[in-house]
Amino acid sequence: MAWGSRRDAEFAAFVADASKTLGRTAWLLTGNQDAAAELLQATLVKTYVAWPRVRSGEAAAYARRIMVNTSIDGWRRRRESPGLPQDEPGQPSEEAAFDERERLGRVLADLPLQQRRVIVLRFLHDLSEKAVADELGLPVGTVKSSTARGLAALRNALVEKGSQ
Amino acid sequence: MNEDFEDQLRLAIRHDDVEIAADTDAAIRNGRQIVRGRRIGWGVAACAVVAAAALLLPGLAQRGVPGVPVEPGATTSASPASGVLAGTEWNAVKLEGAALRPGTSITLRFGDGWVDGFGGCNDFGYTTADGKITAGAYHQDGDRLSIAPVATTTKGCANGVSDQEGRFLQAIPRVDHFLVSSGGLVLQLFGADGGILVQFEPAAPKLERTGWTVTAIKGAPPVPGTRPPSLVFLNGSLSGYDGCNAITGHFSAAGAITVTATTFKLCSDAAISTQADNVKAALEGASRVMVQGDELSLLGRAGTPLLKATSDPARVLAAEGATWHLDNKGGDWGNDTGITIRVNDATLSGKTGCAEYTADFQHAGDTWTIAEPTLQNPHPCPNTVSARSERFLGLLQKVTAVQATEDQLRLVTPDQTLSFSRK
Repeated sequence: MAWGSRRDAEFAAFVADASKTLGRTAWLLTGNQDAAAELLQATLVKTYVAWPRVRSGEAAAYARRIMVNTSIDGWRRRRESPGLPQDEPGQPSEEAAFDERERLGRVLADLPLQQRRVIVLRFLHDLSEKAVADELGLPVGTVKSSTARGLAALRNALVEKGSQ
Repeated sequence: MNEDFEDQLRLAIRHDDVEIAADTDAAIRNGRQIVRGRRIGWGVAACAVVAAAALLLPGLAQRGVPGVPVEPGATTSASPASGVLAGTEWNAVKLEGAALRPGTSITLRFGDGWVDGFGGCNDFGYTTADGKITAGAYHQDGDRLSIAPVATTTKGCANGVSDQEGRFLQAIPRVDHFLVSSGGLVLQLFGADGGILVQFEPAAPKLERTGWTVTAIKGAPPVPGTRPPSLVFLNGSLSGYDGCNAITGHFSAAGAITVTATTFKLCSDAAISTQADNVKAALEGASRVMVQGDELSLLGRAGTPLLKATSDPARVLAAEGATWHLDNKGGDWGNDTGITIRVNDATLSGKTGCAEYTADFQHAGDTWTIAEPTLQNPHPCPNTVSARSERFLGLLQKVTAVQATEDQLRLVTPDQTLSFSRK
């Protein structure tokens, strides 16, 4: 197999394996389907470029690191809705659960970028505070405080919404 | 209670409600362009990155040449191309024939089928349903333009400002057609009765602290196999390279560029000399400067593209010449590592705590490749510091991407992100 086609085949296998989690990460970071798709594609291109150096190691971790460190502030402006979805009385429970998750995604998208990154790495990827600090190039103390603030903001927003 | 909430959060954010599709073929195609560009020279690589960027950001790809304006008196055969408004940003100057209230502003940005902006009091934007843009959608066909009512925040403001904002928001869905005139410097939105609803001027491009590698001059790529022209806008000053000579000048907050001096080196051949003349002519003759995402465009009076460039943060970092200090305080680097980095034109330099180092590096946009560092002036240091120094130098060679803000420089490696601050 030629060098190029081997690289492509390995990379394609990686994408098939990792794109679901990366896509989920992108959506949580951006709060917007289109922006998430752009972020995912940008991440995959960078991972392809770096493939010789990441193929033997943790390619998924590398792609995640690239994704969370990519500047997304501009993309975030295009979030799907400026407001939170309203509850409709009498919804079936599955629909209500979907709305709850949808709302959580939107509240998350409204957190400051650093808090959002930390929350996604801690609770989607289950990284330790130390690992998040390494990934983002932040002091562990900052990761701790960002987690606490992010969780508090999420809890408040959801409780407020729930009590309306 | 806290653990309950954290568990709920874990469950909720892992649920498969949303599927974000990856385009593997496009990623490979665009990645290949960048890899190929690295092998045959960075002038070409920069073009590849632009091509890749256009594909990465579908908006850029779909726009074609954005902002080609329509001059007054244009015949119907010269009606604006589809997508002409996409990617443009405007500041309102008149609303229903009257100047805006002093001290207020209204902005409007056209995206790919959506608008957003600031009404003077509230942000407004678009919403989607089932993947389609609903509120804030716009459709352009020739000079015909329709914009759906926008979604807004609901902040209350002083009466006059709120009234003005309300009139603007009511005008938006009444737009029937538009005209871009004066070389792209005026946008007018008309109602069905032909009355001007809103008149805009282009929003000022954000040039300060940006660096650019030129990718096209009068539609042609830079001379192959040569160092491409480049521009840096920093602290109100322009410094650049036209492919042969250095350029200096300044720029205004409104985006007007003035060239004040160039060096007078004899260029090595006619193609480079012509390229240099065209770069200077583009800078001096641009009537419109646009920054859209990672692309800078200088347009002539008739909206003709004079020069295009792609963002290259390394050029700003080199122009600033700042020393950045490793800032991973809470990580396992220790509190004061003495590790520094400084970005120069084609090299990185700094201290490892045990020695000084320099390393060649290549850059295209935010993609960096750093060669093996060379050490100078080594001095004895404790084992722990020495190990840290080795580790840093090893990571440096693994850097693949960079993220630079005014006060932070992040180098991304497969193992970890190295974060630096100015101190």
